[in-house]
Amino acid sequence: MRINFDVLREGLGAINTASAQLQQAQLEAATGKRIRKPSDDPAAAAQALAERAELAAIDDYQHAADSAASRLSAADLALGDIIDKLTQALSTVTGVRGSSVDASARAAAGVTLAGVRDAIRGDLNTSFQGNSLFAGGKVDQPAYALVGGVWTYQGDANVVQVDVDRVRTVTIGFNGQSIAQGGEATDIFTSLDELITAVTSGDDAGMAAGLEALNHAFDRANQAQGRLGVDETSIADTQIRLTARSTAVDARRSKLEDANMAEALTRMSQADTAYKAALGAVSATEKLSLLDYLR
Amino acid sequence: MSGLFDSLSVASTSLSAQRMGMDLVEQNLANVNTEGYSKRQVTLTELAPTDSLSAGRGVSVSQIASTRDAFIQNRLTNEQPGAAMDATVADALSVAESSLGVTGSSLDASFEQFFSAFSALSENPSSPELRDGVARQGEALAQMFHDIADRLATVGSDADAAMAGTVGEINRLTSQVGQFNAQIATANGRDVSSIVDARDVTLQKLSKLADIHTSHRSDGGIDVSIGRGAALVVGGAASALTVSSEPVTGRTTIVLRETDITADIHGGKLAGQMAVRDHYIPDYLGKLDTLAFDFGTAVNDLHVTGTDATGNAGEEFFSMSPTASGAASSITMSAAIAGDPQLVAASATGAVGDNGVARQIAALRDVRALDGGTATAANMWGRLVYAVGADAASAASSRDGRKAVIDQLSRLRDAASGVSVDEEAASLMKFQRAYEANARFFMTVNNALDVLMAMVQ
Repeated sequence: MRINFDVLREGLGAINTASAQLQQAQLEAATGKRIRKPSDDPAAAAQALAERAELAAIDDYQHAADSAASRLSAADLALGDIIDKLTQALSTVTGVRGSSVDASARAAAGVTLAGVRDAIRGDLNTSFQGNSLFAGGKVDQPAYALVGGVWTYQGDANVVQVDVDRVRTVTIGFNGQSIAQGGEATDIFTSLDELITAVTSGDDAGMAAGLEALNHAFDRANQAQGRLGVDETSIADTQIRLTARSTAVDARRSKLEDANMAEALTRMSQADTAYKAALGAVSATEKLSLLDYLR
Repeated sequence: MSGLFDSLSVASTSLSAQRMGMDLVEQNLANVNTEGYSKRQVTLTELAPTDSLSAGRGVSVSQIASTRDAFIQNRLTNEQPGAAMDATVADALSVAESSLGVTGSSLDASFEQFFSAFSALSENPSSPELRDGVARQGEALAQMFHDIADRLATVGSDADAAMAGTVGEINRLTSQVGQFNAQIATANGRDVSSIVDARDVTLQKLSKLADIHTSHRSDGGIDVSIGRGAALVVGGAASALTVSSEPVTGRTTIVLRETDITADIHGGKLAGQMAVRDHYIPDYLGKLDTLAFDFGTAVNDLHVTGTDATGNAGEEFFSMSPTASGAASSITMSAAIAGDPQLVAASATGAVGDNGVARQIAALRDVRALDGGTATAANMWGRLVYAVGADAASAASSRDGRKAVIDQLSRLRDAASGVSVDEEAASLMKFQRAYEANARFFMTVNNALDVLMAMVQ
């Protein structure tokens, strides 16, 4: 068999192969990416898309958790203040019961109770970034207002929740009526108004009824704060889990998409050597033929 | 016994033969880089003596022949259509996969930004800024569908438009083959090696364009057929392919003597262009349309259950074609919502602060509500990316594999027919030495004749 070696064709083929390998390694090292187009590794490219979608979802949940934590913190402060104020009211009323209390002390107690009422109203009308926290879904309304001389709940019975993970929701908008009134016939503001009247007039039966209403309101506020505390703890746990998941998912994405720099640089060095060798081999052999030796 | 004059005659035949050998070396070396050139070889034959006491009458050139291996040539012709088809598909699909955009800034990112916008809105449904963010992301998502669909469709339409050019090239080459056939048939014994070489090159080019079949004729010509045996070249006559457009789709069809042979072409660049136009791109566009339609429908189904910030029932968030066909190109965000983001229906209860629908749409990212309830939007996009990537990788791999086969066949062809500079150098030396020896013999005989003539004087 004749061996007819086409130096240029074979040599150019080798140069092209080495050049392509060098370019591939250079791009990997320069961009840090193993996959630059889907055909580089179709299965890994599709899997990396899923990991990126998961990362985006986690990012959204983290954002929602951070935002919810801020709201819950504001709501927690308001409920804590309501409990303090109710405690103050209970103490005040207890202190003015009995026949030995004079009218001026009862009047002072009435003023204190009015202050408690206004403070609780302020707490229940707390807003966060312009949204009422205790008006249910009607975030554009203050929860309670005196309308025509009657304390009126202006929100609705809904609670507003956000997703802080796929199977974890927390309440960020509360039904203020369930705290201020619950299953009672009157809300805490009306009860406080009636209690102020009873205290200033020395109506012991009225004060007893008012104390019972205050105690019930205290219990409701405590329960609400307890539930809120559970949510706050849950958010903290969720944030830790989301961070851990994000790290794990990003590691999987990186493994799929990103280049192993040590390997890429080694391959680049090898490809560079091969490329120079191919160039040298072609330039050396291209000069040779029998004609060079015939004289 | 021969005389001195006979010796001169013998030397003369040899000088002519060796000179012919050197001429062929010159011809071979001159064509060392000529595509398709087959090495010429001279065959020398002894001129036998006329009687038993004669040394002989010298040498003659009995044949000048091209060295060809018909088997390898046929293998090359048969391999070319598949290789050319794979190369065409691979080139087109590399464009198609770039049409999908870069991961992280393509449809995947648009989906995530859309869901993130609704997620952010669920945290504060009354925020005008967040409502506007939802509207802008909805517009951006629809635009991304349009862009990708448009780029993919362009790959298909480019392939379709290129078919006319390919057909024109086929016609030019078949016409040349017909002319070569005619020249060979009317050669009347003249050397037609150069014509045969040129025809082989033309057939190789032709086989890259379509899956042709060849058959040898008794007059030395080659008949060429295409597809399922439709004759393109018969002897010196070549039939031209024509292109026309399908009435409904406007796609290019290929016609030979008033018969549509489009479906019969399965190889070469032409088949690659048709595969891209008829198979790959429609498949990708179909998947993209299904994704757009199912996604738009899922969002609309949720959005119409909600209440917007003005207290009215939500309208469809996206408008698009009534069926999946063409949905990626036609999907647009509701102009009313785009113009007034207060119309984003985030509330499930009607309360301005309720976020029920916004949460449901944000959660759609994890719901297998698309493709018959089997996939999320990210799943479907991943499937499309995988399909394009796998097809492109497969076509490139197939192209490289066939190229390796063709390279090997080309080496075999060159081993049989190609010009080796070393070999020609050796031949040149061989013929040169023989020429010099015969010239010296001629001078010796001539000197002897001079001596003889001097004796006579």
